[in-house]
Amino acid sequence: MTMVEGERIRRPIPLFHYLAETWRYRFLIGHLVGADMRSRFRRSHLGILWALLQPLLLSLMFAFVLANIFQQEFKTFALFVFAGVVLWEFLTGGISVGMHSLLQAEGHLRQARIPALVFHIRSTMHCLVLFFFGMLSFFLFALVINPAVVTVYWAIYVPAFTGITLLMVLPLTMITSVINMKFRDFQQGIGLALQFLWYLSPVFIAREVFKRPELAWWDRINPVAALCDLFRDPMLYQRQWDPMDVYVFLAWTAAAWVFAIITVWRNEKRIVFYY
Amino acid sequence: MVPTEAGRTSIIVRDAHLSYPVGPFLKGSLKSNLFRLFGYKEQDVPDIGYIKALAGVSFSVRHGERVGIIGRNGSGKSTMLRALAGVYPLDSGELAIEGRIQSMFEIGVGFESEATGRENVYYRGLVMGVKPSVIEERIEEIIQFADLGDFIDLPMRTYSSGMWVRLAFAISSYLDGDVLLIDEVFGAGDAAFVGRAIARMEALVETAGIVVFVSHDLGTLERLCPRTIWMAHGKIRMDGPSADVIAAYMAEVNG
Repeated sequence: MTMVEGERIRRPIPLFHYLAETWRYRFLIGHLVGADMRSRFRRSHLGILWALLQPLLLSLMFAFVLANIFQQEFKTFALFVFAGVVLWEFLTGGISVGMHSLLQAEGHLRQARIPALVFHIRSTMHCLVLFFFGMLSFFLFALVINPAVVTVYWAIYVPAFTGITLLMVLPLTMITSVINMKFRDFQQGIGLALQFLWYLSPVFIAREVFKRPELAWWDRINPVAALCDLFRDPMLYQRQWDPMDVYVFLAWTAAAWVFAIITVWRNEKRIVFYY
Repeated sequence: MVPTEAGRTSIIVRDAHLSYPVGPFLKGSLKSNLFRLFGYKEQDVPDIGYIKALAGVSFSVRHGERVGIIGRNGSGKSTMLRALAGVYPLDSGELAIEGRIQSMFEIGVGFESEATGRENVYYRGLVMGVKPSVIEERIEEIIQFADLGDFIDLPMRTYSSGMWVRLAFAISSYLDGDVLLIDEVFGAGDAAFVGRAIARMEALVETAGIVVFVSHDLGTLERLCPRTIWMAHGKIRMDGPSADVIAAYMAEVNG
């Protein structure tokens, strides 16, 4: 292997070489994801069961309180909220989990030249594993509470939904991890921003509420609102995707990728100096 | 692009410059950035943008050489080693390495303290980009060299610092590397282990390629490395046979 550094350092890393290097670390990614799961539930009596129980209990808690406040029928509302919680956790995992991906990798990045993408994929896979458990929990809950909603649509749309959301989670991880390295205030502020987005999105509030004239513009461009419908339409209402929701979400995804590639390209080589 | 001898392990460094940006530490918070907008400047904080860690370093290492790097704290030794590993990017100059690099900079890095030593052999190997099948082939040799007895199947949080060093060195030196870069890690190892580690590095150079060893332990360094580079203020002060370079260095330190 010949490696040449120096004056070319600020030029972009050749994409093919970068991806090949990332592929070389595929076993490490698998191992790190496993280690993340082990450490998340280490010394817990229920262990990985928490990955099933946490979204279930959180959704039941919300549903219990809000079904009473909004005068909703519990069974229908619980499924609605559960769907919102599962997809919200998956999408925002790209920020809440992803922003730590480079910070956590200090030991590795100070020891050897490993592509940052390895750690971005690690965080994304972490979110994906938790999403699978959340989906399993959602599936079991739906079977118990309202088996009629479990249809063939699930088999078609769950993989499609997972793929389309992953396309967003990975660039979110890439962007937030670099920003968090350069500005440590980010992790403090982003929690508030996510909380704001949570209340401004139909995670537990019906989307119709956001269609009022003063909020309609926001509803049209909100990627979380689009994603909520992309999940709930086929899963709960046996409806096909609304093309407008697909366009909105893909437009945000494309913008996220452009921003992510620029952010990583400009910062990757010197990110080690920010530890 | 500097030419390297194809197929032969070698290192060529030509006029390497490297600066640490200090800015991230001083300007990394939104608060300090906002305050700076209004002309506020923190007291007692030097306004240093960069620290020049390497200032025009040039040298080459041929296949089969063991080279020591010495110098006072802050002279650029460890920075040079990390630049060789590709961890730190150069500002300018050229660096060409022929061969696969294995580095050993920080002992605890690449280990999971809750996992057993045996599991960590895999883990650290994967961090080095080694395939699981290759790790599987070498694991018994690694365990034998580390000489941890029954501890190998206990969590690493139960290990002493010397045991961490033994396992880290065993893994680094037994997993296919042509260029072994070592930064002052033997401090925690006992005398018997240091002796075996030096013997291992000598054997490694015969079969592999190059060892570059940064240390303040001049006795170990002289025993291991026939050639030594003395660095001062980011530059090479002297490069030659270890006995001569160490004598000159000691004369200055003591003088």
